[in-house]
Amino acid sequence: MGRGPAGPEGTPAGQRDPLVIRLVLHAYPRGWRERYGDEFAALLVDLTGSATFRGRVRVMSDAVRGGLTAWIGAANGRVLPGHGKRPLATVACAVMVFAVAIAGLAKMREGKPFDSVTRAHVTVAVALDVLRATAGLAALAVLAGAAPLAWVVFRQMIVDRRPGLLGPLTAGLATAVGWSGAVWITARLAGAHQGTGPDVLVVTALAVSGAAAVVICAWAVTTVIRRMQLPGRLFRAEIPAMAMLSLSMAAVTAADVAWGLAVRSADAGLFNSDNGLISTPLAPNWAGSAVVLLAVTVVTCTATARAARAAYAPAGS
Amino acid sequence: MTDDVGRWSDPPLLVLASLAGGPKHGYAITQDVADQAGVRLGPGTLYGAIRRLEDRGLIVALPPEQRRRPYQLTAAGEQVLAETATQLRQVAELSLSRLAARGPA
Repeated sequence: MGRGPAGPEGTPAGQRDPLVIRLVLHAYPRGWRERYGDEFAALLVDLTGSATFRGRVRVMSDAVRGGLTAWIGAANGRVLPGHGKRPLATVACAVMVFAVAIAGLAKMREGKPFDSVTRAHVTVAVALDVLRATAGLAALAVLAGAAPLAWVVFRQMIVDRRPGLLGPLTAGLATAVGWSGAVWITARLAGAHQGTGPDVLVVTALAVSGAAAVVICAWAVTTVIRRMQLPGRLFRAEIPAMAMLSLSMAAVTAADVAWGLAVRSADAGLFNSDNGLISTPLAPNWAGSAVVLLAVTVVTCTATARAARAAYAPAGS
Repeated sequence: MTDDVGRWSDPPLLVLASLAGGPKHGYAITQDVADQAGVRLGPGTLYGAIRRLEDRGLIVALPPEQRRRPYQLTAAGEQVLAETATQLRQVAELSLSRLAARGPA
């Protein structure tokens, strides 16, 4: 493989670079030096080795100017490379699955029998309050993380006219609104069919269409995140929100398990409901929600840890 | 993505064009660009461009050879270079044809 001319002799192995080159290197941020310093010093040695005095001055002044530019770039926050955005995309997808699981939980506990048990048993009431509070915290964390990202995407789409953002964004929003509308209409229809027992066909249709909607929304979000330019400073600002979301998800998972166990000990019959067209208060659904929430929590925690490592790694590494 | 590379004699475009001929380290890129395009890239300018191109995934670093590290184009880099070069060719052809139509001043 041809690498082009090898260049002049350069600095012999084991010998230090000339003082002026070492000084020029210190015009660059530390992270930059750790990534490019050695090869950059070798290039300076190559370029100045046989140059005239004027040539050396030109090379060194350009090197110092590059250092200033690197400092300005570091202060502005470098643009994150594509692979650095993966944890963010992973968390965005996890949030969608989490939202579906929470919606399923809300659906599961609807109906008067659950309200009666909640009023009669303090453990059920406390677990439900904790679940609601931690789910609220998770929603706040999602808002705190999503709002600046949404603003940046909007700005790049409208002001910078960055291509490739509008299509997936529109598809994702249309899918989310469309599926939510279908669920709302089905729920209204279900209200007219109380007492007919669970309709497996309707529940299955909603679940399959919901899974498809999640896949489309996940595609839309990951595509937008991949195509947007994400400044490193903004990415770092996302880390606290992601950490808060991870903790909230863990708390929601624990609260879900505690709530289900409390309900079962208070009135085991509640998890064998027969109270509507799309009746869902079944023990496997509760256990499934706990498994899904746990999986989503683990994925979010792992992605957050990866994001934190990427965000605070030395620049250029 | 094409906008990130810039136009005409912008250093990132020159670096991409140089690497289209195969992987090269910094010194080889400066020599190639000087020989082929008549542009003398200073070291700070060159590494500013390398940094931007690497951040955007348009070039990738290869294992260093002694202290010199070669870089090569990625598939995304090839695509961006092809798009940019096509646009530049269209502008160049348009300019030349209109100048020719005007005749000598």
